[in-house]
Amino acid sequence: MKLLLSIIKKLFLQNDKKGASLHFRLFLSFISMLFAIFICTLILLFVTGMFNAGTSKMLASFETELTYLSSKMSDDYGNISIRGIALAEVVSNEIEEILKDNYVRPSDLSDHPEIINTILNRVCSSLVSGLKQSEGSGVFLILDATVNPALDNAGNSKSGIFLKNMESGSNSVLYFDIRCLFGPAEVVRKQGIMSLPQWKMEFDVTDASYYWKPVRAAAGSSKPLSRLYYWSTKVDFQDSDSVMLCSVPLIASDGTVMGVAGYEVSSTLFRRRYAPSGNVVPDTFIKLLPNSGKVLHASQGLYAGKYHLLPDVPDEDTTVYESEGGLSHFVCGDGQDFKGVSCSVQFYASGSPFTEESWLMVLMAPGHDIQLIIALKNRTIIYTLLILLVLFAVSSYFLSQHYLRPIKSAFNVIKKDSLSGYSKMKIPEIDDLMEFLSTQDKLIQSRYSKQAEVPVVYDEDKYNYFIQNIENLSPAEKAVFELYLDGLTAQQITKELHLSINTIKTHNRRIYMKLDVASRKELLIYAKVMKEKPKTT
Amino acid sequence: MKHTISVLLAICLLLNMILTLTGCGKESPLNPKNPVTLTLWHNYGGIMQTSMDQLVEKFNDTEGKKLGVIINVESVNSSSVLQEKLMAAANEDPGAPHLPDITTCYPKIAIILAKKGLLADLDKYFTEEELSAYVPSFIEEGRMDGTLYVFPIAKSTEVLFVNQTLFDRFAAETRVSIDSLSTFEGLLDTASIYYEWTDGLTPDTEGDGKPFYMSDSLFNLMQVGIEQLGDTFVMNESLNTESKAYQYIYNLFHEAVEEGYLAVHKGYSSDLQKTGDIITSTGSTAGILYYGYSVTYSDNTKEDVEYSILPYPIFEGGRKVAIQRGNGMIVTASSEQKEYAAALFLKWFTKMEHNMQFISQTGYLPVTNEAFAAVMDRNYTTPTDENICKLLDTAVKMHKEYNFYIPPVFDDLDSMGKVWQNEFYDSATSE
Repeated sequence: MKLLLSIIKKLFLQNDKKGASLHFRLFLSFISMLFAIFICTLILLFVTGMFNAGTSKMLASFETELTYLSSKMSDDYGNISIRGIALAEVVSNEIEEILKDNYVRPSDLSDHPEIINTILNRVCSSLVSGLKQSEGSGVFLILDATVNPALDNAGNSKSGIFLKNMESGSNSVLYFDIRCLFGPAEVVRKQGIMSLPQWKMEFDVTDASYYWKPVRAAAGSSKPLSRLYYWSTKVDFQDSDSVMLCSVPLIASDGTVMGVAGYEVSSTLFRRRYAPSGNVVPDTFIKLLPNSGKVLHASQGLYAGKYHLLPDVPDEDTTVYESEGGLSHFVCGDGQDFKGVSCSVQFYASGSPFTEESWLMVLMAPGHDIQLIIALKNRTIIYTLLILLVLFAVSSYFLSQHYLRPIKSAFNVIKKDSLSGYSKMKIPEIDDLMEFLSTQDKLIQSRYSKQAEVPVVYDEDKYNYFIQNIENLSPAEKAVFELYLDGLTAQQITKELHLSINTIKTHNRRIYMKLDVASRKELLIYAKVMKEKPKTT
Repeated sequence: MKHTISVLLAICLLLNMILTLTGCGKESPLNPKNPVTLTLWHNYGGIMQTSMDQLVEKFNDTEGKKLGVIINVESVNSSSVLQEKLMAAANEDPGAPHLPDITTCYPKIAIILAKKGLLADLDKYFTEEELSAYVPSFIEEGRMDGTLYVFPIAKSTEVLFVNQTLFDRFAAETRVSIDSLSTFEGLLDTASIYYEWTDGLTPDTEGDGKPFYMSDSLFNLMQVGIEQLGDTFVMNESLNTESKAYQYIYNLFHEAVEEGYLAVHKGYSSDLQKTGDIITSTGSTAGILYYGYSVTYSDNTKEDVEYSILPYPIFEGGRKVAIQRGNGMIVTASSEQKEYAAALFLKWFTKMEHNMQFISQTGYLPVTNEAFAAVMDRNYTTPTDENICKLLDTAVKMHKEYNFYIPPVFDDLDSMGKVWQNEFYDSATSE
């Protein structure tokens, strides 16, 4: 720091007193060129979008990852839908057979609770084998019947079975650990299946879209099952994993809708399968939710990402804004903002009564995280440029100094009047100049010494010319002349006037030229005459 | 100029020296800039999986990031499936997966892997001072021929679960006392009274009394019971069925099962508790989450209930002995870097606050002395289920008053136990 200050002081103070030095001028020209390059580089970076490169790169990365995940998810969900349809067909046939064996019509199922356990016992093996073959994490069947119609809310209590594969979160497809979430204990025990801590006997289908929507859509419909399956929004079963259910109606041959069956995708499975890599922004996550235009109902969708993000993940209505740079801006009701990309996902084929219920897969990250990463990238560019600027400035200083050193040395040689002792610097221009000056110096010295030996003869005309042209001397020349009149030698004059000997010699040459004298001796003769002769007015 | 260049060169050399020296000063084989990834298998599924996932993620985001270790949970299976996979991997069966770097494992499987030279010696990565922080019997259980292979992360014991609501209803009419459940003899006497009482509730139907109790593992009960009475059931890798203690316990329970006082069920006793088919059971502390707060009857009616969690019953005249269960984590033998990283993870995972977080969400027991003290003070770091709080109170009390029986470790113990138990039940339930 002290070194820097002394350099700056040296440069500017010197300049203030005697005008800008060669070094300073050269340094300035280097710096000016450097700044010009710097400004051009900045302009180029802005024009080519380098400062937006972070955003563009992030957008590209997000879009690539979203495309991959949404495609994978569409395939998986499509396969689950197909298997759900197949399961519903198999199970419907099994139920009809049992009803037939017990002389019960499908439409009278709910009036015969005594037959429920028989049905469930029979279909259980189909459910288990279906679960093992599907990509879902659970399988379910819900009958339009309850074991105890006399209870309160019996209309919404439905008997059925819900089995979950606890191994679905692992990478292995060979191992299964099937537990029961819903189902009659008697049936479950007979099948040798253990129940989960959250086990309940029957489903409560109050406002359960996964039950009522496919059942109502199927009632009186002639559409095939491939147009009647339904994917629910997020369902939370008491203290259990949140799930999405693919429900397919169970339709008897007489058109009676006997219930629904299908598969689940649990939030655990969803997280394991579709969690983004987080390579660009570590806290990136995925949300799959119903597409309702500019306002997303985040609480209805599943989440895939890191656990520690869960408290911050939007779970309430979120507004979407399009922003510059391609990343959409998501703002939650509580003010949190996120940025990301989204794409539409379609679960239904044309002709399905649920076609209008489209879904959106959103890949996003906290807004401030994205801004931080972009700022970091831009900061890196700016810091790099600034460091280069400082390096170039320092090297400009040393380069300009190095460039001027031979010139300064030459000046010193001239000042010290040691041209004869000058050793070549191997810089042609300087060496030529020094050689020329040295020759001139020798010539002048020899002429001077020759002039000193020639006797001076007084000439009146010359004297008159001498007197007339004293006025033509410049103030500096006059100062020298008068000191000569006072009898000072050239060396004494240098001290008196604080000039160099070379300057005095230069003045001498001009004085001689103007006054037409050949030497100082002649000058002094005419000066003496001038002093002795009275002044004429 | 020359002077300037010299100064710059000197600065560069000095910087180089500083960087080299700081590099030389490192003892750890880990490098945060080039992290090592370890694969992890575990058997904490269902509700416990969330707790496990949270902790692994926390490690990766904090200590792991700082030191250069990433834990990748590759597989979550039930303990039986996990054991199957480990054996397949160890035997290099066709299609078997590769052994992970770290996995939960029971000592009985670990010993097989250790004999094949597949496990890392964990003593190399823990100082004596570090090991002294753990409950000594937990560390000892993980040693085979003196070498520490299985590191304790979550232990359990067995306790008596009582549906207090249904018991109070029964006790009000029969004047039985809950104190009678402190011994097996008292429990079985109470079971007979319960059978008679429930049979009496349906006067039109005879012999339909309900069982009162079930043990999740009668084989464990037998081992522990014989220890309580001063003898040993499993000796020299075979079952000692000649002792008086064995005969006593065998006959006691055989009669109880014959009479219908004890339930026979292939699953866990919590399944029967949830439907009110029994009202007492003995099982692992880790099963607490399966008990819930209500009972659903076969006609779909529900009743809110409260559970009491009592110390494991003792046979009359016997010592207070309970079983010590639970698995630990093993580290596969590999490079020093990976083994070191794995040990780091184990230390972090069993650190007080993390151990407390895990046990307060799962019902397992703490493994360090410090965590035990925190449980005694009910100083939980995360919100905890009330049943878990009750369970931990009982477990801590048992740790003060009971001796703990650690089953012997050999290949055939599991299969031996299953065969014995099946034969027992077949014998007791045949006409």
